[in-house]
Amino acid sequence: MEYALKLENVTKEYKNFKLDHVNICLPRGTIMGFVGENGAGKSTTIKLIIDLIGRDGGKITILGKDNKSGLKDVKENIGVVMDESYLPESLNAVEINRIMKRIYRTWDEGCFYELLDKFSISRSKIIKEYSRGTKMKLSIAAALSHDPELLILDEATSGLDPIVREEILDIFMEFIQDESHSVFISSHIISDLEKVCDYITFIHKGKIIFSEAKDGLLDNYGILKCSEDEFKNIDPEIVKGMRKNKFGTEALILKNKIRGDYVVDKADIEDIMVFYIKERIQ
Amino acid sequence: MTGLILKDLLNLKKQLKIYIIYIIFYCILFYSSDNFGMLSGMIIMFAVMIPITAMGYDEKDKWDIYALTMPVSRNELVLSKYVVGLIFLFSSFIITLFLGLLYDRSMFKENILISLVVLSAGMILIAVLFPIFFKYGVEKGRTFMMLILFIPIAALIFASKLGFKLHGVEESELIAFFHWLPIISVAVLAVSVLISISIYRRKEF
Repeated sequence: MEYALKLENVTKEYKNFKLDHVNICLPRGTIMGFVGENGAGKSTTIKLIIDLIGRDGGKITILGKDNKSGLKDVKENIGVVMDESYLPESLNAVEINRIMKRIYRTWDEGCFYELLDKFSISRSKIIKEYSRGTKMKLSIAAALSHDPELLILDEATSGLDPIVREEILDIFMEFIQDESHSVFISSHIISDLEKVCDYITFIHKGKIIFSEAKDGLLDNYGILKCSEDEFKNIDPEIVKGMRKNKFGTEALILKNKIRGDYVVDKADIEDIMVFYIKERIQ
Repeated sequence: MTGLILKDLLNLKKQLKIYIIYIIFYCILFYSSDNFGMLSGMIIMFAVMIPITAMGYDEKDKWDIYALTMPVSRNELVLSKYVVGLIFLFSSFIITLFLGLLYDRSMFKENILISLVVLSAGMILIAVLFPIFFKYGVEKGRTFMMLILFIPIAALIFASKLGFKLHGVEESELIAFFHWLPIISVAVLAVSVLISISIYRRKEF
């Protein structure tokens, strides 16, 4: 399979945080959601991908090229949206266009202005006067206007209202219609990712807990609800996390492996994540 | 790289208007005083401050992070700042030449030399300051800048108070040194570029 993005054993160590042998493979033509709690290592991973910070070990390949040697060329073909716009605040959209035209070989002015109109972004207002949502939409418009093959988004939808988020997710869905396009999106708004993603990668304390197809995850995991006594009979191998409350025990389990007659509810990605992080069986 | 330079120029639009008002103001102020060296010194000093202002904007916008997601290398980011600095220095140099001509035509030759010396001083100042700003950012860098500007001045004042005098330096030697100064400043600037590049290459965001 051809990968748009591949991280092999990527490691980065800080004084009190370590990104530990991260492996991620994003097949071309798919959307991968990158989830994890605040401080789990999502932004660090994305900064390593773009080489904003240097890695201590491992290998990163973007669109088939090493991110150290071929980065400048590769960046022509990727669109990056960070958690904030980072565009010069005292400029307006027309000036941004003039700058981008000189930076990207493939800059498409028509496409950019079309997106501005579509997002109803003012051309004459300076960026400082935009709302947060508009700033993000401008960043996304800029990221899409140089014919990218891969979009890398770091918390691009966080802090936006549901209507704007919906609009933005629609744009990603439209982008992915082209089979050579791929998206890598980090977020802690899991419901957003659940809507659009093919793969979910879950990072916790600098380690990848799983990186799997979303449908597989939803098929494999379930929430078991039973009494404490019943729970003792469950094979600990299939339990991924549990919590007790006054009504009994809830556990995240591999639902296909359970024997016997139990109440097993559907688990969504958020359940899986919460059980893994908070109710993890050591 | 032209995109990066254009970004700085667009960012500095407002600053430029203020700069032009300053120049006019100082021209009027110095018109009667006949101190061309002081005037050209002020003009070049402002020119040095402009690229530093641009760095300040970038820091506030976190532009470097954005720029590095685009097909722009770290070296280009560093070089573009030096180019912007030189654009303003040379524009200011041309302004001082022009003013030198207006001031006193009989002194034009001397004024050219003064302009050149001041331009060189500006280049050396940029050469010293830029690596500091790339290393420590504009906020912290400004403190260092104050130290760098004031320590020599303070030392001179202190030395003169203690009764030291410049002796043994002939005027002709000084003028010979001034003739070499532009070449020295270009060399210093080249070294500065290399230092900034190596600082910026290791920078993490």
